[in-house]
Amino acid sequence: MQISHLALHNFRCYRQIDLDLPPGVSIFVGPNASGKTSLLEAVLVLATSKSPRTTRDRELVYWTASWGSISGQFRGMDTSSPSIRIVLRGAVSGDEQDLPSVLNGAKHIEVNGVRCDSVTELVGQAPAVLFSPDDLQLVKAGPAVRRRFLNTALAQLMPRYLDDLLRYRRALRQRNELLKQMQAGRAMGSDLAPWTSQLVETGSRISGDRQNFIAALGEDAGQLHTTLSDHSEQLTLQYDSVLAGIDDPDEKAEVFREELERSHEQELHRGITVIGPHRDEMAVAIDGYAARQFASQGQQRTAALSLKLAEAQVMQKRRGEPPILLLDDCLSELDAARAAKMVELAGQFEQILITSAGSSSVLRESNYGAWYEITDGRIRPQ
Amino acid sequence: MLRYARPIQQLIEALEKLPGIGPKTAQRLTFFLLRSSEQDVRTLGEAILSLKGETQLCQQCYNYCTAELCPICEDPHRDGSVICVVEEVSDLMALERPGEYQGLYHVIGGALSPVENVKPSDLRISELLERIKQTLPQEIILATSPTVEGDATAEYLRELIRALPDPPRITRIALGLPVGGDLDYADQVTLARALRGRTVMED
Repeated sequence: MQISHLALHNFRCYRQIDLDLPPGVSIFVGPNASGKTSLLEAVLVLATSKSPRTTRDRELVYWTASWGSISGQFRGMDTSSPSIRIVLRGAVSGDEQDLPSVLNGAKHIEVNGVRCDSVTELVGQAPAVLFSPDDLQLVKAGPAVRRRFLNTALAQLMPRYLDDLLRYRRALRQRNELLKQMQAGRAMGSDLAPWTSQLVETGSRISGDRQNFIAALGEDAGQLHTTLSDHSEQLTLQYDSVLAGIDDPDEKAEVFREELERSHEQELHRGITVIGPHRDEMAVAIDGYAARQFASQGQQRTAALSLKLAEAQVMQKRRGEPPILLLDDCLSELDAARAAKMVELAGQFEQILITSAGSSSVLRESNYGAWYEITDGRIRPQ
Repeated sequence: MLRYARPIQQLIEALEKLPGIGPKTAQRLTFFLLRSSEQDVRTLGEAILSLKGETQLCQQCYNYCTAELCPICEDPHRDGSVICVVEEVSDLMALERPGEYQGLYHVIGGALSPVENVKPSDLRISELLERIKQTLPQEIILATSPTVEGDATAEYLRELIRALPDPPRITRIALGLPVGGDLDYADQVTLARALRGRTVMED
């Protein structure tokens, strides 16, 4: 998949941008706070409907504007060439008459000119993988960051996963609320069963998808890490869950149900559902030791990079075409040898958008790509 | 601050409370009415008043109507052996439109939702069970929405109906593909759900 045209209107620091993008490598150079990250962010919002930097969509709109938009024309390998448009409401409440008529709520999404009622109709149309300096948190931070990583990847691979995830979260919220009401003596135990069923049905499928994905990811990430670390280190991934190690979907559901029953006293006591995919973990180990606690910062960075590249590779294998690679200022954190390998590995993908604060020597030496200069919300080819 | 004359301000504030109407639209509607003919405004006013005064709930299925029973329940040609359970009257109207269904309905008035504090006792569930016991239908179609809440409500009802002596057949409305479209045009989530809900092909 590649993006051939990107248009921004009142998005972050950009008032109006119309940009044709070639296949292959595009490199965007500019000083700090010039809008490099926002450019890649815009492509990721088209891919996933959400920003990796904020949960408040209003922040994406130019600070004095009442609305903004992102439009992308994509080109797939087969016949799929989606055009995607997302219109966002800004923090400034302007005159209602000035808002585009399509914007009823806070966000309007359309694919090929047709309004999407659910994000499941968008996500997966134009898959992308973002590499950023924050990726270090993938290895360093708590399990929630790795669950989000799994969710973003799987949602783009299978819209059905996103549907299950949204339904799981909804069922979990309802079930937890009911547990609290039961605690307070305001609800009966017999009311819990239908919510448990919803949780088990969606949760066991989510667990199955994660289990398969981590197995595939682990294989690729292991090889990549060996390459990136000059054959000195071994990276392994493991799916940690009450539902881990069960292959049969029906058995998974059955085990989930049993485990919920087993933990019933505890969940009544605490007023929340204590087991399930919302507690899943993907354990990352280097040479057998938990990378989160025992690896150096440099090792953690290499591991995070391997995970991201593996994500892109697994997506490519499963979908039959590569995702768009977005590299946000991530070469500066690597030593020269690793940065060169990274550029080489990224080169196998169809389209890569790279941002860089300085003109990195690795990029100059590699001597490829279209170069652009970003200053004050303007983009000029070099 | 300068304000509109009291009757104008009053109507603007009343209209603002309606769903989907903000201050700007409320203002626009108010001035539209101010410019309209006396007769048009009176017709609208009377329509709003009779909405509350003249409609009531059907004693049997809780559809809106103007008599004790709604036209569907009164119709002798409808098949009383099948009851279709829906969340709201608008769902009933949607199911009526194709003219396919000939049975009766039961509007339970929503779906279970602990978060919004909707408990089983807030829905017309005991009324449904009582009706089943009295009229002994052969089939109950659970046509609550295919949302998490609608599915949970359907399962809750299934368990209660199953526990009745000599329970009727219980069916769930199917999750289908759009008619006339090719399979490769259907969105992936719809396709995945349609596959999960596949049925045995009868002779």
